[in-house]
Amino acid sequence: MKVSFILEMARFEGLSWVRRSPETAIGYAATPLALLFLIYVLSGGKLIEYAIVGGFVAQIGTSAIMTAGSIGTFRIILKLQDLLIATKISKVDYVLGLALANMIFCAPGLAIYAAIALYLGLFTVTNVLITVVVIGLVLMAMMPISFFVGSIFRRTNGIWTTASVLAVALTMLPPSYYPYTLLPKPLLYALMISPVTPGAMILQGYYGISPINNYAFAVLAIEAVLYFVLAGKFTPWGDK
Amino acid sequence: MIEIKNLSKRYSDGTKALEHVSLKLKKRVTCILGRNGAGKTTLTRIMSTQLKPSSGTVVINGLDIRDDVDEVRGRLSSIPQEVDPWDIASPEEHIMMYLTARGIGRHEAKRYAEESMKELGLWEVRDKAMGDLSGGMKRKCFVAMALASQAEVIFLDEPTTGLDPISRIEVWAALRKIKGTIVITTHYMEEAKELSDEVVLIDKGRPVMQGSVEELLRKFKGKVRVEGPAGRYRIGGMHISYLTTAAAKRLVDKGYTIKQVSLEDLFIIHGGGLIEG
Repeated sequence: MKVSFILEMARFEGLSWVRRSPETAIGYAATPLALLFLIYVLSGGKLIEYAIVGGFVAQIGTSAIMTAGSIGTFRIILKLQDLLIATKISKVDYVLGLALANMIFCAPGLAIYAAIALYLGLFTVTNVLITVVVIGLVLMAMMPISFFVGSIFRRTNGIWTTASVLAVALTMLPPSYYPYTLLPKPLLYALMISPVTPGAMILQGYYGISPINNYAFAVLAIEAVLYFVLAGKFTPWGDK
Repeated sequence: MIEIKNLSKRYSDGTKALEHVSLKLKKRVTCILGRNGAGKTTLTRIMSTQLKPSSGTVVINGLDIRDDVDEVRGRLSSIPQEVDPWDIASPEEHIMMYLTARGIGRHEAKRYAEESMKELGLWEVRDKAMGDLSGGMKRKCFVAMALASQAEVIFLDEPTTGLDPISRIEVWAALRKIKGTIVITTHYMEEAKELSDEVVLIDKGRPVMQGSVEELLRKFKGKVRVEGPAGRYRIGGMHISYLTTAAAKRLVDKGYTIKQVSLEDLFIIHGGGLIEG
């Protein structure tokens, strides 16, 4: 693993954007914040915890999936991926660099959520730790999906469209903004394919707004590893 | 030295890009010339380990690109055709990202990046977003990457395509500062003449000529290019012949134009013109 490269890639793709165009970084928080407002108004403030918990995982999930657009741009339009193929880095280094960039990119939006959670008194030491771990695992599990989508299309319009559809399917359909207990078991199991589902289940459990599900952590951890392995195996990198 | 051994490449759609190419590139700067689609980029991509050959191999400074790919990658730097910068990142961020990808530690990378940016006149704009820089400056950033890479062998695929004449001259000056073996693909004759110790002309996936500019033009010795209503080669509506000066002068009154022979004429006889007779 090339740690120096991962850090520089994060600076290249994430920090540069936040530094020179901070408004776009905030942009990724716009939808979750709008949902936060909607849920607050429609539920009369009763479901605000779900909006906060959902915002953490949905924001990181959406941002990770939409990174497919950057991956496609680097590969097809800018040819920067070609530049990197003939170096010592692997696909995994590349994805980890982009994941870290994504984390930087999401930091302003996540900070807004953290501030609201703090204001509402939702945070405990355990909650904070669990939130950080879940955000990290959701990011790790979503990035390989994004890498795969960003690598298989010949044109960027296919990537953007697929990423947009997946962003809805993998972050809005799962129980990120509503109690996971509302879902019938078969549907819940089907939605487990999205890392956002176990992520939201864990957070809802630890924030005390739904029952704790002991299997969700295992599912999320397995997905983070499995999706990386699958993407490593099936995503093209350089050769055609 | 780069030794290309019986190299062929057929793409999945059936296109034959290279056919049984065997070459030895021994000079410091080699220019690979050819028309669009001649196979230059495919050859460069294979040599720089971005693309796998269908058959054959390339040996770079004793290392086989098939067997020693990691080792080869540590020794080469390849700047692909039409690579464009990430508009929001700076020249320094581009160079640092690339150098660390090549396995250079951050501390050393910072030093090499600084040296190369100073060498190429990028130091003043090191922290500016690439989107705010001119086309020439952007291209120089990629040359700075190659310069800073400390690689033994550098591949540059059409490094000046789309640049204005001044920017092109700036990039040429930058390229002259690179040490080590350089392989440049281009379809600009002037570029090949300016930069190369040796030229390889490729047509339809095969090398057709190899040598210095002087050697390649020797076959035209004592001849000039004559353009007019009739001739041996035809490009569009123009006919071209290669005649002795005395023979050419006799045609001037009949509406023919006489020009000095250049590398462009190799294209006409090997890669471009339709032979009429």
